[in-house]
Amino acid sequence: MKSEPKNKLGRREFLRALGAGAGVAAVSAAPLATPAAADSENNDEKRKARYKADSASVQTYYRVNRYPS
Amino acid sequence: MARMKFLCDADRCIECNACVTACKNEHEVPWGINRRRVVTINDGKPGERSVSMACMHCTDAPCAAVCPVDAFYTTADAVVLHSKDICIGCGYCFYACPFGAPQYPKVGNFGSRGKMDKCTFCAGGPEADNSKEEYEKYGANRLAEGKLPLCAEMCSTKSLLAGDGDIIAQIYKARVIRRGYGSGAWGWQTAYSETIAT
Repeated sequence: MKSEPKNKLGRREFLRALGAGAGVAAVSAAPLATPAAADSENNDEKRKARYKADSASVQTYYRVNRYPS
Repeated sequence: MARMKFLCDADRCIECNACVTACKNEHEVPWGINRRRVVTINDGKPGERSVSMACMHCTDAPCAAVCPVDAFYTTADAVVLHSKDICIGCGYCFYACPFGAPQYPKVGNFGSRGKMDKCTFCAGGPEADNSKEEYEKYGANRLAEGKLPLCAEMCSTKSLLAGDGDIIAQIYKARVIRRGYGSGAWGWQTAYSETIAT
């Protein structure tokens, strides 16, 4: 009588491996609710002066607007 | 420290709306929002005047005074900015502002307004300078690039002045002296009465 070939991975072993894999994936995955990204600058940074009075663009603007009407 | 100011020389404004278009294009302002508008009084009549209006970056800003979540702040350059991450879209600033500067995109249902949007004096917002996040939320940060607001730079008649308040006041004063008559600044007579000449 011919016996059936035995599977290398049984049904129960397969399910156990599947469950263990899912557990590892759940632990390692990033949480669903990530913290909201808010302003990246702190109070001092966001209030600092950005105007550059000596830049060529600014000086040209003032010069051109001084032209007599 | 320089104080950034806008000044519209109403004698020169021809209502071309280039400032409005430049602003919308530079910052990719969404449909339904105009950070800058041109207002015309006595349209088609003698005494017609046009003036380009946006956030005036008030010294004691009423929008900041009424904001329940403290989303507004004033920079060292005296530019009034706000955080869209903090804004809850309540609309108080819209009612408080005498210039109608705060705008809302009306993105949601049931009357929700969305995050407030307004003129930034081309100075971005509370994100890293010239970052993608800053551009998406607040538009370009020209001030950090060593430039002035594009609306003023684009003005063909040099009507809209922007920059250091002391310098643009000098420029405007020189124009008035050369014209030989009183101030064409919008609101001057309302504020200082008709008897005061400049």
